[in-house]
Amino acid sequence: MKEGRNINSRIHPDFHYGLVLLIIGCGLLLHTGSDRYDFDLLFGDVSTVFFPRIILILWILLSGILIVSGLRRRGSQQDLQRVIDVRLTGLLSVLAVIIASAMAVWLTGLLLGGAVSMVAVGAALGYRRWVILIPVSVALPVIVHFALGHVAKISLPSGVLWN
Amino acid sequence: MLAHLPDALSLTFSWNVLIALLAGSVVGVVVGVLPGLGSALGMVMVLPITFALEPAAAIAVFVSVYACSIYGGSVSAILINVPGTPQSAATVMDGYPMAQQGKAALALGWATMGSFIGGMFSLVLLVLVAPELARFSLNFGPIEIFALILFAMTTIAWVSRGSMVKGVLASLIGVFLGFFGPDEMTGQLRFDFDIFALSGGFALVPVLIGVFAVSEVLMQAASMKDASAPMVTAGGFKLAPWREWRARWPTILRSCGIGSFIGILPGTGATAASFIAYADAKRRSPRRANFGRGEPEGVLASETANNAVSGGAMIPMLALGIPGDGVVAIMMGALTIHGIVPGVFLFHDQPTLVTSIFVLFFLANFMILIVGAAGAGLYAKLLRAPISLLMPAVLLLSFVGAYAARANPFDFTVAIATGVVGFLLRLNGFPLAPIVIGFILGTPLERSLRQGLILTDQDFLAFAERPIAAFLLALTALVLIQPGIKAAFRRHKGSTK
Repeated sequence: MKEGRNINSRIHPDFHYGLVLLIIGCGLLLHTGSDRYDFDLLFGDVSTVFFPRIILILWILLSGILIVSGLRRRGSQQDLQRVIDVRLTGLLSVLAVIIASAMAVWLTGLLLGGAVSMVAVGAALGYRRWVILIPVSVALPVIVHFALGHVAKISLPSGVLWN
Repeated sequence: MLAHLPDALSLTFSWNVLIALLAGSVVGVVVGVLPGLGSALGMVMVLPITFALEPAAAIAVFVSVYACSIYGGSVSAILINVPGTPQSAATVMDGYPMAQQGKAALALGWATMGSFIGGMFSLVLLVLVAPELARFSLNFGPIEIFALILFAMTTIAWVSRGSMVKGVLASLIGVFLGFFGPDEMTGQLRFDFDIFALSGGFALVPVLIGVFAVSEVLMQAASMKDASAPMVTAGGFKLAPWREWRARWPTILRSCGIGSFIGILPGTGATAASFIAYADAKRRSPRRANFGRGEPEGVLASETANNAVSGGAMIPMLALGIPGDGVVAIMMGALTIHGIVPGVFLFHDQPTLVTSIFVLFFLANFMILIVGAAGAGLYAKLLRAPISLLMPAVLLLSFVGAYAARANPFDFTVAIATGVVGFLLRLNGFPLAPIVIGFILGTPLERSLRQGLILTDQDFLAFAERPIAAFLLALTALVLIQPGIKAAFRRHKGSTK
């Protein structure tokens, strides 16, 4: 746990999760009422959005239950700590690197983008032994490219910049 | 089944299938050994590799990764006091104390043999029960299938780790992810929000990769304390003398029974089985005082039970098309990609293939012995690899897998987005397996409900007039109201005190 953070919050994380899920569920349920799904009654037809509506109504009900349970209990230290204890900077940097890596693989292909992304993800996760990380990052995309692309004939990202 | 054995053997004993089996076993043990990877991630990692394989070879990879990864978890449990997979959590209690006493090789011997015996026992059950269950399920129409899937999904959510509400919500999220794209029955687009990329819906592979692999990388990023390698006890492999085994046969048999039975139940899984078997062995053993201090029977009970789950869990998957847990759900999805649709008609339409699955499962359990004994010396070295070096490789293979399924760059986005959702849900104790199970079973659930409603003139109550469906719907209702009854009973008990 990070020093100085107050984990005796009155509201359990379930409340926030329930609220977000409730908003998403309501938004999606409203969407099922749009003109593009042409039908008349709520349950009057076995239509395209008949089953999604059932699922979304259950979704909203359960989100409501989650909100209520989040309000009613403080939750164990463990529950709160799991959410609070996240290394936010590390997490966001790794997420940014993952998104950049996906773009790099798409733009420059598996061989170049894969090697760069492996080094970047390894570094973002805190690995600093470059003499191991760099050769591994170069070798693995080459092996995967040869084994899957050439031997198994599986389509791999070849890089839109080169095509 | 015996009539198809010669064809199944000729299908199985070809070089490419045997090489696939060996490769799958090695990958399975490795992902099991390394904490943070595990069976589900291993299955997701090998999925793109199998695209180029013929069905029998692909099945060999899946079955061997499944069986061997469960075993692999015991190695790190014994050598570094960290279970490689959740299924081996109970093995830590006696495995690591044995390693501390200088008996790591012996503990690995007990774990390897226990895993082998458990796997073989569950195979026998699979061969005996699955064909009968499949024969019975041939009577199922859409209404029965709807009731069965509903019951399975409810049970899976109910027994999921954490609260039932979170389990059910996770499965609803999974079901909803399956709604994107064209409606199977009318062809009309749903939830595409006029975004072209969404009009094709979400493919299974990027969703699997996102939920299991990307979320795992994010989890590691969020919780990683340092990048150093763990302290590893020296490994090896040594079998105990026969008299030691003879004294522990009752535990082996009971653990086999517990594991196989729990495997058949949807959603319970190998983790629960290993703890129940461990507790049972501790209660009944004449050596119960040694439990927790390095008693081999503790390792044996846990490892026998968790591998006995594998065959049991495949029974409802193969016979009914109902995956019992997340790993089996991935396997089911992977088989579907290869044109093998587990469920009611598989035994009827492809008996040779089903028999070859049994043969491959038999061989995969043998591979536990071979790979377990032969590679024992290497595991200690493998465990020194820090997770921050492994995760980039996992991510690279995830990108390859996400792209290879449809050669569609949008699947990168799907994998990352589902990974972020999976991570956020995991953070607050939502189980991930119901998401995948919901995604896989959502489409057949909707199809069977709509077909059933057409059959009954949109009268849902008429579903209850079919005996099998009525029975399953009653069981579902019981599962749903059970927590409420339990809570009320507890309150009543508290007030009378």
